[in-house]
Amino acid sequence: MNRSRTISAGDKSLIASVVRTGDQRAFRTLYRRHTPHLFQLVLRITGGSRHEAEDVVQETWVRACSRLPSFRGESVFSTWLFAVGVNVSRDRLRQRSRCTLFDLDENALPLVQPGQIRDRIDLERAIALLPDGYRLVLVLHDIEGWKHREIAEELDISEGTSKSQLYNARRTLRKILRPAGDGDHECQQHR
Amino acid sequence: MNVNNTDERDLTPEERGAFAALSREQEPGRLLEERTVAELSERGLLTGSRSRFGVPGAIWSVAAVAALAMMIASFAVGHWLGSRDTANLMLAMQDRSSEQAVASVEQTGAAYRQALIELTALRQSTAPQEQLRGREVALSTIYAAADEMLRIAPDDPLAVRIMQAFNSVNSSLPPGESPETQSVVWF
Repeated sequence: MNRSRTISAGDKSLIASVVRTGDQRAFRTLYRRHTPHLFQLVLRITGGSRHEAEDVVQETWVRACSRLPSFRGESVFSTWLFAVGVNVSRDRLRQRSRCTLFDLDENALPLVQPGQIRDRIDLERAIALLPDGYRLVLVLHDIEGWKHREIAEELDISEGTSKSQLYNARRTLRKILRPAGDGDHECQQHR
Repeated sequence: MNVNNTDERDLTPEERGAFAALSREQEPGRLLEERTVAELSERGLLTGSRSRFGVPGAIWSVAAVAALAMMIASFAVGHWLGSRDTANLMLAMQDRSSEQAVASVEQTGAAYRQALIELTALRQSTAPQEQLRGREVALSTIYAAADEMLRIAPDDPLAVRIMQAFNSVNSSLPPGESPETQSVVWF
């Protein structure tokens, strides 16, 4: 993900129209251009509920539009928008009271069926099984390509914490994905 | 994904490949865009009221509600006139909830008519393609309402005639040309 590019001319004129006149057509164009990626990102962060992800996407656009006048175009619009989406997602996770950004109860790993991870769908499911905090950092770093510095800045944590979260996320993901008969079966139900 | 990797810190090339193969985009539900636009409009962040079809969204909303109400009203009137069952009619009139429903039907029916009047007025300021789209939606609404009435009351004379009229027009279209009413999914 190239997060250092500047805003494209197309987005710039659309944003200007939305800010100046509340142009609905311009907004719809922006929406259709960026929502599919935003929705996929939010869907992963929130753990796979489409209904919840749609609520988050809607709230993201509302927050983004209310802050559009302050958007200076110094970064890619999508980067700025996704950062808003990440924060809305994080708020949602907190509301669910199951955001364990800094702590993980190793005994709380979900039940999985070892040895059945064979395709992208299985990987998606395994990611969805991660604790919220781990999943958030893993999605941003390993899938979306954010740097630890960017994650730290956006989530208001230290770079060290981001690295630690990613380390734990990968370790947990590997446990979840470990085939049957391999190792100590830690990925099976601990509860 | 190589799950036997013992190095917890770095991704293996295989793992990188697995992550890279994940989709980066996914379409949300079709209604989310309309929901979002409505929310932004309500908050005053969007002022342009023209929908993607070039006709104010509020008109379509009113039309949808009114069409549903007209369907109910038509069924009620057809049933009363068709059966001429005085006893049932009296019972229905004594039923306060029915009276309220009829009153609601009258109000929303008037709103539906008003929406069509506004739609007609927009003919001067909209492109031919948008006008056609408006006609399609209006006809689809009537067609869908009549079709629904037939499911409720297969012998309802008014609904039968409406459907006959639609079918008559559709059967007269040249081969390969779709009737307008089939190009819009309203309900």
